[in-house]
Amino acid sequence: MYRFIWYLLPGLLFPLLTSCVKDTDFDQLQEVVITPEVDVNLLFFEINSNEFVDPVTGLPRMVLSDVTDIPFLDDSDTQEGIIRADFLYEFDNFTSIDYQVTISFRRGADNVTYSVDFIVPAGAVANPQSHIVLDQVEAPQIYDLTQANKMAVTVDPLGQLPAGGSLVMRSKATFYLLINGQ
Amino acid sequence: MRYCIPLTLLLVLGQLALAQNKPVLYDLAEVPQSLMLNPGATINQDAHVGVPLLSGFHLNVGSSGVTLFDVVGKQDGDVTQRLSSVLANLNNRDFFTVHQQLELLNFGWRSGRNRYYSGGIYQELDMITYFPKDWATLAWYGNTDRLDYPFKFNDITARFDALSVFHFGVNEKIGRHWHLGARVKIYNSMLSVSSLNNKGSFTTSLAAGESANIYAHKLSRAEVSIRTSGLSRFEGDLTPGGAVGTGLLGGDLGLGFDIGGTYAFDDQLKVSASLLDVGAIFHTSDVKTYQAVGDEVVEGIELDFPALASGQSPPPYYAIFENELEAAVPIDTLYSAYTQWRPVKLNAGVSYGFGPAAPGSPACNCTKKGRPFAFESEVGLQYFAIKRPKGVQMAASVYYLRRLFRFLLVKSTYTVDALSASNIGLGIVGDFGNFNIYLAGDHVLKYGNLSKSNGLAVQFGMNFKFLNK
Repeated sequence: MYRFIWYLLPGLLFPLLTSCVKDTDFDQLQEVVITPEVDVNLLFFEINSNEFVDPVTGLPRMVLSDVTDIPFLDDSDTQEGIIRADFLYEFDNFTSIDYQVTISFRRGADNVTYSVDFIVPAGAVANPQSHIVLDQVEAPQIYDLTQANKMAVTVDPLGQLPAGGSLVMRSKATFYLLINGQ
Repeated sequence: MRYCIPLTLLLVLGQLALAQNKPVLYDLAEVPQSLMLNPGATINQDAHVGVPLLSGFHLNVGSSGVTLFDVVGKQDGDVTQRLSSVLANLNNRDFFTVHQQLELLNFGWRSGRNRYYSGGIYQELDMITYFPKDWATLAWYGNTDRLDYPFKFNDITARFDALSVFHFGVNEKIGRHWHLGARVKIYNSMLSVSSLNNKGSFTTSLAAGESANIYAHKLSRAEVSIRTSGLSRFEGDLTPGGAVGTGLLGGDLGLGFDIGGTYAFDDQLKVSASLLDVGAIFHTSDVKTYQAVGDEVVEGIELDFPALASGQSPPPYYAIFENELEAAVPIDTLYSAYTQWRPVKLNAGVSYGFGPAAPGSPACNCTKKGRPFAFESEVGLQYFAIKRPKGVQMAASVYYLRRLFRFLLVKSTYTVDALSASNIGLGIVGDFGNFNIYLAGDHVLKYGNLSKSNGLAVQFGMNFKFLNK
C-alpha cells in the first residue's frame, strides 16, 4: 500500500508543477488587421440670401467662405489608419441661382492639401433643388487629405446674388480605417 | 510555440473560473483554512498556527467564453477572422477575472472542549472586468453598419480591489449535532478602482428632425463614472515601508463578518453552509470619482460665414463645438466618500461518509481527545455563489474524498460553473506529525495545455496542527 503513494503523489503533483501553455503563437497577433468603418457628421450650414450683403458696409459679398479646424485628422495614427474616405455633401437650394461650391482641406491657412468643387443647381423658395455630391477619396489623394488640419467651404453665387431663399448644406464622412497589429 | 512553466509562473499566466470558489478546500476538516470558508466548519485540531506567508496562497486567473487558444492558438485560417468569431461569440456577461489571496498569519486554538478561536491576516487582490461587447464591436467594425444601434455604457463594468483583511472568529460546538461559527473582519483597502452601474448609450441615426445635419450622434442619458480610492498612494516612489504601512490599517477601513454552521445528523451525514464577506469598505480618503453625465445630440460643426473685416479670424468653431459638448456632458472629478459592499459569497454542502474507519481514526467519536472518528471515504455535493456586479455567479460541485493513509488524504471534485462544465479539481493534504501541508488545484485536466482552459485555480499552504492526546 505504501508503495502506492510513490506512484500517486508524483501523479498529482506533476501536472501542477509542469503545466504548459502550448500550441500558441503570439506572433500572429501582428497579423491582425481590423477595418472599422466610421460614419461622422461634418459641417453644416444654412446661408440666407441676405447674408450675401455685408451688414456693416451694405456692400455685396460676392463670395462667402468660412473655415474650421479639424484636428482629428491631424494625428499620426489617423493619418496612417485612414485608407479611404467617402464624403457626402447634401444641398437644398431654396434660391433661384446656381452656386459654385468649393470644399478644401488645408494644412495651415493657405496650404490646400485636397479640394473638390462642384455646381449646386438653382431651385426656388417654394421648390428647393436638392443636390447630392459623393466624393470618394482613396490613395494616393487620401494621404494628402489627411495632412489637413482645417476644412474650408467657399460659396460662389454664379451670375448674380440671390434675391431670396437660402442655401442649406449637410455633410458627413465615412472613414475606412485599416489598423494592423504591427 | 511551447511554454512550460513552473507552478508560480503558471499561476500568473493561467486562467480561471469563478474566482473565489474553493471547492477542494471547503469542508475539508483536515485543513485549518477550511475555517476561512466556513467559520462553522468541523475542526479536527486543538490548535494550529500557519507558517507565516506560506499558510495559505490562492490564485485564480480566468475568463469565460474564450480561451487563450481561441485567440492565439496555432490554428488554420486567418487570425483576424478568428478574432471576429471570438468577438461574435462573447457577450457582455462574459468576464475576465483574477483573484489572489496570501495569508500573512493564521492561527487558532481550542478553548475548553467545544470552542475554537481563530484569527489572522491575509492580503487579497480581486479583479473582475466584463467584456465590453458593444464598445469592442464599435472599435472592431465601426458604426457605419450599425446605425440606430445603441452602444450601451453599462457594458463597461469592472472592479479592482487590493486590500488586507484582519479577522478573528469563533467556532462553537453546540450539542451533539451543531457547529456554529462567526468571524469578524476588518477590511483595509489599499487600492480600489471600479466602474459600475454605468447608464445610457451612444447611437448614430439618420437625423429625422433630431439634428440639422445628416446624422444625429446621440448620447442618451449617459452616466459613466470611474471611482478610485488610494490611487495616489501608489504614485511616485512607493517605499516598502509605505506599502507595509498602507497594508497595516493605513488604507480605507471597512467592517464585515462571516457566519456559518454545520449540522451533523450522525457520523456519516452532515450539511453545512456559510455566508462570507457580509460587509462594506468605507472609502473616505484619497477618493476621486471621475463622472460624465448628460444628454447630447452631436450634429457636427455649423459654419456661420460671418462678414469679417480684414485681419479678422473666423470663429473658433471646433473649440466652440468642444466646449458645447463638454458643457452638455461635463466630466467632473468628485472627492466625496463612498461605500462599497464586499462581494458576498455563499457556500453550502452536504457530505456522506462511508466505508471502514479511516486509517488512524478511532473506532468511534467517543474519545473526546485526539483524532475524531472519520470514515475512509466521503462523497458530497457543494454549492457556491458570489454576488458580482452583473449578478450572482454560481457553481456546483460533487466530490469524492479518500483518506488513504493516516497522514494523507485526497479529495477530487467535479465542478460546473459559468466557465466550464468539465472542471476536475484535485487536492492532497498531508499530516506529517504536526506539520500539515495542502495543495489543491482546479481544472487539472487542462494542465497539460493551459491555453485551452477557461480557468485554473491553485491553493497551497503549510500549517502546524496540534492535537491534545
